[in-house]
Amino acid sequence: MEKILTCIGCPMGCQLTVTLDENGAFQSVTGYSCKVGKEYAPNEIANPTRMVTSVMLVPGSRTPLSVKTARAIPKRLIFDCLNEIRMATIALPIKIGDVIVPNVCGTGIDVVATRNLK
Amino acid sequence: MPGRTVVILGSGDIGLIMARRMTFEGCDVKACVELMPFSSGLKRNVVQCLDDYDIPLMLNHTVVDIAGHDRVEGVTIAEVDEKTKKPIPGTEQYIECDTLLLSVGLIPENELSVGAGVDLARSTQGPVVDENYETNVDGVFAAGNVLHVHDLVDFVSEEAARAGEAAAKYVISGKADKGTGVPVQEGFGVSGIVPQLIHPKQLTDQPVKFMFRPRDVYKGARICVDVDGKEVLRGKPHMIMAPGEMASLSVDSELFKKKGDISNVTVRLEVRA
Repeated sequence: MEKILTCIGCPMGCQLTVTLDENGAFQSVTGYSCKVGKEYAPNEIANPTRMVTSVMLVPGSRTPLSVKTARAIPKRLIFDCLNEIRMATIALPIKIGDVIVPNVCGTGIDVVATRNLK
Repeated sequence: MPGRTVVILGSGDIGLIMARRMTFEGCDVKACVELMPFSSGLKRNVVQCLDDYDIPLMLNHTVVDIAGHDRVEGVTIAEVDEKTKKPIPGTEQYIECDTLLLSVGLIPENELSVGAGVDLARSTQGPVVDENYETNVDGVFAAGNVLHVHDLVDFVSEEAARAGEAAAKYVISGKADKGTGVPVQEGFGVSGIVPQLIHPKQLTDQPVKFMFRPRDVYKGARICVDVDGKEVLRGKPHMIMAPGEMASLSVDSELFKKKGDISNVTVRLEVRA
């Protein structure tokens, strides 16, 4: 099976053709023009991760609270993560770095505040 | 939320990031429409904001009509001729949507700068600054998106640190004799050069950092610096340069100090034939 990826290493954006085995595991890649693409492809296949950022309403505050995952989480959990953020309740005051959702989606990664709110 | 189904015009970083944000907040983003044959955003954002959510990027397309009276009901998009940028008749397609999001470019906010009497540069549409990010008004420094629109906050921080250092020095030591300013010109392929001015007399050991946007997509281009028409620096070839990713070059300040009186500096790209 083959999959097409765009390398994000530079503006070149090489189109990478990745060959996968029957279990979807990385086998080989072609189409890269440097080692960045060569290393990007297996990582992006095996464990694609993304930072997730969002905003949430806080009772008593006119300003919404901006939050982010402390580290990148698996890409397939993005929308579950957003749902957990939406379901979370939080009270003022809030400081940058406060944990808003601990261990989001069982990833071991917290969702943290990225601004202060009083 | 302003709507549910969205078409985005413009594929710079803001258009791309808004596509993801609208998707996160529950919208159906139908397409991101781009006049140019390439996105002017970072490749990472094209992949992580559009491709991740299967949002089509319609290059060489633009919006030619908006339907609806009290509320947007849809937009008509059409392919454009790559050279003239004019819509090609017969290529129109209608996309139903209730929101058209325009992300069609940023320029610096100049209200403060103009009020302070700061000269503006035509190509960045922000203040003219020297290598210390000082404007023509003594003691007024500019950095960040008020100077020129950045792609990444890291470069804003770096620029601000140098401007802050120079501003602190100004506060402590007062106005210095800067000597004559030498204009920095934009050569082939270079637009929005910063700084636009160098004061050779006040240069320290700190390198002079030039930033600019390539005018087009270039493969194998080198950044070159000329002093009074003579090449003094020839950079390594870049595999690719594009308007969407700001280019930068740190130049040893000796190159400008050694020359004695210099009258102009040019930063240009050299593309192999």
